[in-house]
Amino acid sequence: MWLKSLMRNKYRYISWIIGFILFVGPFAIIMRIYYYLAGILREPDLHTACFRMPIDWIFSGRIYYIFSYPEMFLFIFAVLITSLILGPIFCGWLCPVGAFSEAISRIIPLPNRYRIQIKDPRITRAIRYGFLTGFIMISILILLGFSERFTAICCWYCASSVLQQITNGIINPIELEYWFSGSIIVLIFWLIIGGIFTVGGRGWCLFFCPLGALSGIIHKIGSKLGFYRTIRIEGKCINCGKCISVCPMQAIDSNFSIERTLCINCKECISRCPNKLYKMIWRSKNASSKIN
Amino acid sequence: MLLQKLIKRFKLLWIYIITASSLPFSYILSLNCNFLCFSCPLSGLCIIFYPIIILAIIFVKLIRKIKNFKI
Repeated sequence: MWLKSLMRNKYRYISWIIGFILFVGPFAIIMRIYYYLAGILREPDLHTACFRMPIDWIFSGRIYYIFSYPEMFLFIFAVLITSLILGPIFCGWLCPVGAFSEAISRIIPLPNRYRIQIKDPRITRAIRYGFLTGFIMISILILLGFSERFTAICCWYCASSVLQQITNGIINPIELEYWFSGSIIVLIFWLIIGGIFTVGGRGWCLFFCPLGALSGIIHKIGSKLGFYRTIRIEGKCINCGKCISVCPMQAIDSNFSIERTLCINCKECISRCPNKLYKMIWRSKNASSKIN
Repeated sequence: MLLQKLIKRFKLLWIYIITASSLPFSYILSLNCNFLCFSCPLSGLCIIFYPIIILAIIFVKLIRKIKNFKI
């Protein structure tokens, strides 16, 4: 049973490994290629393509950083454009931070009844976008000149840095000097509470990732425009609830409707539904009448 | 039915407001020291601790009130 659960949608493991090699140092292939082409002498890692600081810079009026760190803005722009057209596939298939916690959640055979599950996706959405609003409000406070020293609040709860330090620590244990109390809290919340003790293992992505939240909004807009999205078609549902329990983002409610701002197009529901009631569509005119 | 809907909406709005206020609140609390985090024994703990506490409170509320929380 556990092994079967572990092996479901196994192509995602390959994409997670690809995501790790593309973004996390010492590989960080995407940034390495960019630095090579731009002639920058810098050792790339996950932090050199920060997922979150440019969002803070935009809202805190420091958009001129685009000239200093164009790669970060390009990266975020690429993720958001992809979210519009293909859905948040970066979150579901490539993001090493979400992949790491989800992988840990899958590996540890803890039954779902011992894990946190919010059955109403609207509550999850309210918490997620509440934190995003808080994040933006702090950026505005920085814009208003409340603090000169402070750069971005996301640096104080950076799961990306923690993942990079874990990787560095495996290669060179001296790097483990990085740890401080804030990063330990992040580690606990990201991997233990958000990973092991949350259904789907993506508690961190659900509540604390501003890029994931923005991608969710963009995906909702994209789905309204008819771009790539997961839908549930009408058919003989046996109410097994597998789609609800396997959804890593807890985006499917008890009426089997998909909360678009949470869905990451990971295809877990598609692979697990015994009657194949979920599918991905692209600008289909017939689909609107079939959407549940 | 309408009242239930309104209560549900109010709960969602309450959750949204509480979580939205948690990060700015911890930010304002941390302004006292002007973010000398790495020279402080707490080293950034104060900034993220309050939002996590808020999240824990919401989870506990969900267990007790809404009854759609599974643990």
